[in-house]
Amino acid sequence: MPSIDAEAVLRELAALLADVEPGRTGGPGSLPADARWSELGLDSATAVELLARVEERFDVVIPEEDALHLTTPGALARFVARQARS
Amino acid sequence: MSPSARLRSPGAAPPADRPGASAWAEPEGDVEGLYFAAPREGRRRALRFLPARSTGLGDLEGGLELDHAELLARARGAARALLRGVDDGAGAAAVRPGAPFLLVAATEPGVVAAFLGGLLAGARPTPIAPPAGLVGLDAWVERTLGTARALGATAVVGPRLALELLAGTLPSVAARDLPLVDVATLPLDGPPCPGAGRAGGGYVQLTSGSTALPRGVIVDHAQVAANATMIFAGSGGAPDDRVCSWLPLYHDMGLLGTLLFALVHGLDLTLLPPQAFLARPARWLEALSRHRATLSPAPSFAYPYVAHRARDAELAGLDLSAWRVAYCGAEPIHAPSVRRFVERLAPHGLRPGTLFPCYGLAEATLAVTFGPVGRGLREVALSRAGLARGEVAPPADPDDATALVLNGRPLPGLELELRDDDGGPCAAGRVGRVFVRGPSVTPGYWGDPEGTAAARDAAGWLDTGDLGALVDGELVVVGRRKDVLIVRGRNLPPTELEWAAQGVPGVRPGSAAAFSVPDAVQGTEVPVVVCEVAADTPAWTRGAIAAQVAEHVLARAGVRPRDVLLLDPGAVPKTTSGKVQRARARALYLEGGLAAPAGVEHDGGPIPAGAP
Repeated sequence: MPSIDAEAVLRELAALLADVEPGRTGGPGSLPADARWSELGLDSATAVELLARVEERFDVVIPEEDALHLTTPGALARFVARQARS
Repeated sequence: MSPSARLRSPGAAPPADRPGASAWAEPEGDVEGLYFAAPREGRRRALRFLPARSTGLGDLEGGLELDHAELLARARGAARALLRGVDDGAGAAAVRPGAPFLLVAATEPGVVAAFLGGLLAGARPTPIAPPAGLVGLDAWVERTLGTARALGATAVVGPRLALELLAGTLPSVAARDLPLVDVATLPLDGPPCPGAGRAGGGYVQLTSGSTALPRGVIVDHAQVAANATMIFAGSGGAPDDRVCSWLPLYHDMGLLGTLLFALVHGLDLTLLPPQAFLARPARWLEALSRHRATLSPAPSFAYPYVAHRARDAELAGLDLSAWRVAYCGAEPIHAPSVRRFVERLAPHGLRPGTLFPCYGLAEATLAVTFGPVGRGLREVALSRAGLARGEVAPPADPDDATALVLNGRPLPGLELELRDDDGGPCAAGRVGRVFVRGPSVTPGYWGDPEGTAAARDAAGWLDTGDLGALVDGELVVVGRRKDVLIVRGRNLPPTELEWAAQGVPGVRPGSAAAFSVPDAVQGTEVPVVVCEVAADTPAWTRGAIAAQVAEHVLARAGVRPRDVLLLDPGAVPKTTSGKVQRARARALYLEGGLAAPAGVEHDGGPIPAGAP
């Protein structure tokens, strides 16, 4: 996987989430980086699905321990960007 | 008593003058004898834990296996450590005989050992959900501490990750009152627990009622033994049956229905963590196929979920021909959605008769009625208008028809009765309140004698809160009198959603009603919230209020409402004392009789997962 920055991951997160949850708009800017997932309408089952899609798409592993603390889209995007580079 | 209002399985019922009496209900013998096959089966595999992550070709072989002797040794080790204090310098006992402790029930060996160790110690393990990634961390901590306080729990036992979240928020003084025990510190062996008799022991099953805090259903060893025996009989069980499950161990279907059921009967059990199923549902089928499982349960939503999500490539090579019983329950069964699963998997050896309708509730330990083995789902067409009047009648025309699944007959030893609103036996052909009696009915709610008295009468009859009818001698559930919402097999108290809605400025106090309605596509129910706003609220404000209601509900209750309707004052049905009538609101909603002024309806969007 070529290196990818957090901004690009964030844009893709919106599309992945729209895929998990049809009816969401997946357009750029639809996921504010600093909002909490819980405020953005994610329930725990959807969160598990989204994490699975993100791991698959970016070929990264997001350990449970880390996932607990990635409470915003920005935090998840930065984590993924870091992992994808390493 | 009208025979049509009462059902009993032939040949296995207790005498009527001895409610609850049965050979299995005797509180004799020791706890080890009930749950552990070690003396007979020491070196045979008891449990296989598959990893949460798919690790490629070999992942179904991986994980951890425990034979019966190892499982007993670990449970004994856990019991001793929990009673004496884990050797971490703290040294204080974490559990006390007769008192509940919370167990963060991730699907892993240490948690199962701690649960069984708690039983051997005579304490009452009380499984709770582990925290989920990305969301709900704060809400999880708050709910866990609230539950611990409400039950008077002596400790929280679980995986280190979850305990660290609690430790971060607990002031040091509180931490002394609520010890946190990492399951990884429990020893793998120990001496037998002296005096671990069955009488008076068991666990607590949390369940959501119509109030915010979960209620603790007391499940004694006698109920476990009784219901596990009934399930075995009702499934046509055999000693070489193999069980496979991805259900969470804090859910009654996962705990009693798979783990304890398999242990009591010494059946081979394969466990997959729930997150593995949610992330890639085909892993459930792969595990079933690989381990030739014969018995596997799931809430009704899981079947259409798999049908939507699994890719053809994932299904290639699966052989589900060993699967005899696919228990389907925990929420209303939408047969057409479940059939899509059968159609998709039939080419892979799934027999249509494998789908198995069940009805049950935590207050009856788990299972109450089962369909006949091998029949599959059978529906009956009834008149919608008739049901609304409390009558069981054939539909007048296709528009009037509603198809309901026949849920089978009471399990051996259980009696089921339909009663009218006055508590008398229901006349034939009428919808009635479903009551159950027998050895698997709970003695009551933990620390809640009033709740117990309201749910269970002196003769041992449990009010299930469901409305049902008898069709061809089988139970058909037609609704709930209790206002609890059931979404994806999870019970939600309506007050949680309503309070969230009422926290939004502009919503009239006391006007919100929350209920769930069936969703044909997803095969589960989805939440709906209706509330009132001032009649002169402008349309542009209404849109914003509805969006905020949806957001607040999600933050507080963890589910996104499918629909938020803002109505004019007085439009939400209420009792004369001003309490919202949820069942009435739901009926009106389904009939289209709760109209929002044009253009202000907020569609919360499809509910996650399982939508096409």
